[in-house]
This record gives sequence, structure tokens and C-alpha cells, in this order.
Amino acid sequence: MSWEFPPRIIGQISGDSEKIALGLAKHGCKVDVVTYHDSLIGKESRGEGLRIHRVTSPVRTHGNVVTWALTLNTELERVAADIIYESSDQFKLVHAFEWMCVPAAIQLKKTLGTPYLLSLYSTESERSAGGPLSGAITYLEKSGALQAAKIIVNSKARAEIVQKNYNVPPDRLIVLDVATNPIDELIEQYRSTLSNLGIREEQSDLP
Amino acid sequence: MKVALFAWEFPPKIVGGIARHVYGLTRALSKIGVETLVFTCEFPGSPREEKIDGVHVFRVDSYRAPTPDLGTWDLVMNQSMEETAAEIMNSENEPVDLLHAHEWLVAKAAIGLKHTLRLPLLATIHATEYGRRNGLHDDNERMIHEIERWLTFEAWRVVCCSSFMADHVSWAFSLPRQKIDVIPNGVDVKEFVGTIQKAPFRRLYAVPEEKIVLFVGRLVYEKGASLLVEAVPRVLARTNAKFVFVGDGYMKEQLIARARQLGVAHKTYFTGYVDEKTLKQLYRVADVCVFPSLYEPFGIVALEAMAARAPIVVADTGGFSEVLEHDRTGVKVYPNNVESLAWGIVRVLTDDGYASYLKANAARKVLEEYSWDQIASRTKKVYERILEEYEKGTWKPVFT
Repeated sequence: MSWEFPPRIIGQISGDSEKIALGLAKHGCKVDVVTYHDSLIGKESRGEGLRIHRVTSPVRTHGNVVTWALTLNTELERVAADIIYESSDQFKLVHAFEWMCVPAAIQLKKTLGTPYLLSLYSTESERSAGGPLSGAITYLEKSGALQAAKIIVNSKARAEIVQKNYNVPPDRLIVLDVATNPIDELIEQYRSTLSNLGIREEQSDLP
Repeated sequence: MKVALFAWEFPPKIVGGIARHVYGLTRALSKIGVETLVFTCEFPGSPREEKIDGVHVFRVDSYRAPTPDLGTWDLVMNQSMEETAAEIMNSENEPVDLLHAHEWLVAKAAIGLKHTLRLPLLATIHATEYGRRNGLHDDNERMIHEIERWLTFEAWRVVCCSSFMADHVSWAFSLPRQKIDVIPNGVDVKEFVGTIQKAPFRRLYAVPEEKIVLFVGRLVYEKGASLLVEAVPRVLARTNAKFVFVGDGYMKEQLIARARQLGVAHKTYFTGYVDEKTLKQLYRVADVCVFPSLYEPFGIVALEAMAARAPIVVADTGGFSEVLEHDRTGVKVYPNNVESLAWGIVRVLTDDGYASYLKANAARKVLEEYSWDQIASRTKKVYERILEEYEKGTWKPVFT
């Protein structure tokens, strides 16, 4: 789950999430990307094993980004739940990017027991000097970090910040830079997440 | 049958009518074999979990982060409500069969659970942002309106309290009228009977020679209190009365000033807000209750007056038009018409036989149609219909 994915490019996450999705599909994983677009709504198949699902917020008028993200997340949650119900009985794992997808990831974990990994590119304390929405964003980011099976960051320095800000156990923090194309390592992280939760290899979708 | 209800207010947290509605409804549902879980916001001094009259109440943490406005607070609260509800529903031995959301304030949590647990969702729309604000004027109001629309879109069926509201909701959200069921509000008649010392209580408001004309409602434009103030001299020309205005609102000072201008200040009494007990006694000593609303989705005050056996004069508008029958259970007057309003009040105050006839009919009607037992059994029928349709379908929480 990512709030940007090509053709929608806002920052680094769009390219990174596409690179990961393509890489995983190439390695034989079944990948569903659930993302946002304002008008290109629906499902797109990109060859073997990769599908992109685009949703928009069911509420069009918003006063701020938090209300927009929270209502959008209910749509992410709806489509992700449908994917979980409608694909095979193989076990699912969610990989969410940034606080923008945290609300849906948490609900899927609570309702359907689907574990999630969270990629954090930055934290609210670094991005903002404490505006009126910072409290709510920090709360979502923190509860997303604390409930994630693993948190993926792109540098040791960022790992330290996340650990310091959100008091996350160090063994849940994984440093993994997408620029180095670490698909094998990512699959290894997925695999150990599932096995930590007692899910056997043959039940999982992993190659 | 097991139903999870979502409402942002539930006693002892009472902000508006939703708390009372969900309280009355769930208690009565438990008497007819519907098990209910209520998810609501925390309240200082109230336990996080309790069982009252067979209703299992869960209060969720609703201030996890500071937020700049109601809409943001509400959606963050919904995130918390959905998490808590998911944990509790997953830990129950018996699964929940149906979700029932009251108002936009719980839309996100209920819609999320609908899709993740694949359970049917019923929505009750008590009022709309469009109706409350008489139009949509800024982005906050538009956002709330669109959340309301989203809730009615996602709901299997929608309940409104009157045909007037059903038509309005259908228009406001482009919702097929066939998707809406009309179930009125209820009232607990037992709370309005029992012996009280009428005379000493009455003396706090009027001298014995004065009849008491009682208005209950917010002192805002759409409740029509200004029409009643204009009607005071016309009524006084025919009979001696004291006009008691219960409630508060931005028009209060203006109304008091107008009464003074008309030379009838000594015949009016603006009490502000009063507690529940005082209000119930006021209904019982009133010689006529007057509700001259210009906009009224339902008008629960009419049920309270009926239960308290007070004769009623209402403007023939919104929910009032449906609850009362002219010349049988009350007097209906032309909306926004002072002359007609004064006529109706005088008609009741000057004919005791007629007033008793209205009271007796209204008291019978309120028991027959507006008791919570009646409302709960009609709501249960909607639950049954939804579950029957759901059973026939393929959309289920089954992994394929």
C-alpha cells in the first residue's frame, strides 16, 4: 500500500514502490499494489503476478491532509480486504509505505490478522515544526510503527531516529536501501516475518 | 441475533438526541432477544466497559491526539473506535451479525469494519448537515455532508425518523428512496408519570390564575420561538397566561428585548437550560405545549408532551405533520403564521373539554406507536430483512 505510484509521482516513494513491486513479481511473488489516484480508478494487470488497484477518497472536500488520508484509508482497507478474501488461501502480508497508509494497515491487522511491514522515509518531527496537524500525524505514525511486524528504513541514521522517537525494539528495525535493489533481502524479511508469526512456508505466497 | 451499534454519544455522555435514542433502542432490543454491543466515546468517570440492562457498552479512547477541528477529531477517533471494536468483536464467542451506525460521526469505523469483516451495515440518519445549516457554506460543512453521503451509499439500508427526513435524505444524497425505512423516535412514557406535587412547582413559574404556555427548544431561528413571542399579545387579549421558554440559543436576548417592546415581558419567562427532572415536571404542569418550528426533522418534544399528557399546538411542518393528527391528538397551525399560532393556543386554553380530549387521544397514541418497545420491534424487522438478503448473497467473510 502506497499513497503514490506511477503515473502519480510526488516524491521518492512512487519510484521505490514501483521498483519493489516489479522486483517482487519478477522473483515470482504475487503482488497487489493498492494506491491512490484521483481519476484512474480500478484494477490494472501488469503482466504475470502484478496488479495495481487505484482508489480515491470517498469524500472529496477536505479541510486538511489528515481527514483526506483517513477517509482514503478506508478505501485502501476495503480494496485490500477484498484482495485478501478473493485470492487463494495462501497467507497475505501487507507492506505499507509511510503514515499515509498506516490506518488501513492497522485495521487489516486487527480485523483479519494480516501482519504488515512499514517503510518509513521520514518522521513527522523531522518534516514539521509542530503545526496543528502534527499531533494527529505523529499519533498515526507512532501507532503504525509500534504495531508493525518490521519497520524498513533506508539508513542507520534514520533507524536511530525512529527508535528514539517511537521507542521501537531495535530488532524490528531493518535498514534496507531500495537504490541497491535489495529484493532478495526484502523477500527474506517477509519470510522471517511470517515464520516469526508461526506461518509455515507452504502457506505463504513467497517463492 | 447480535448487533454492534456505533454512536459517538451514549449516556452518561449526552450531547444531543442520539444518546437517548440509542439508549432507549438498545434496552428495548435486549427485551426481544437482540443482543447488542454499543461502541461509543469515553466519558469521565464512566467505565470503559459495562453491561446495563442487557446492553454491553464499550467506551473507546477518543482523545489520542490533539486535533484542530471537529472533523479531524472525529476521523482520528474513528480510527481508535474501529481498532477497539475489531479487537472486541474478534474476541467474542458469538460472532456479530450486523453493524448499525448512527450518524456520520461513526461512519468511517463502521464502513471499515463492514469491508474487513464483511458484515451488513445499517445506518440511521437522525439529521443532515444540509438541514442543520440550512445549506452548505464552507469546506467543513461540505466534508460532513460528503461523509453522510458516503455512509448512506455504503449502508445496506438507511433508517430515517420521518417520511419528511426520508425524502430529504433521498434528495440530499441521491439515494434511492426504496433503500430508506421510516422508523420514528421513541419515548419512555414511564418517565413522565407518577405523582408529583403540582401546585408548589407550578408557583415557581406562574400565578394560579395564569395558564402556562410552554415552549421547549433551542432559541434559534428554525425552532420558531420568535413567532411565539409575537403571538403573546394576541393570546393575552383572549385569556390570562404565562409563556415559559425552556432552552437557550443565540436568539435569547433578541426574544427578551422583543417581549419588552411588545409590553409583555412580565408574561414571559426565559428559563435557559433546565435539568431533565425539571423539564419533565414542566411538561406536566403546562396547560398547552407550543412548538412553532419552521424546520423539524422529527420533533421528539411532541412525544414528550404527549407522554406527559399536555395538549399540543404545533406548526404543520416536518416530523410534526406526521406525528400529530389535527383535532385528534393536537392542534396544527400554519407554519410561520403568528395569527394562526395565536388562534391554536387560544383554542386549547379556552376549551378545557377540548384540551382533555386531545390529551387522552395523544396519550393513547404515544403508547401504541412511540414506545421504545414498538420502535425496537420495527428496527428488529429491518435487521431481519437485511440478514435475509445478506444470507442469500455471496458477499461473505469466507476466504475463497
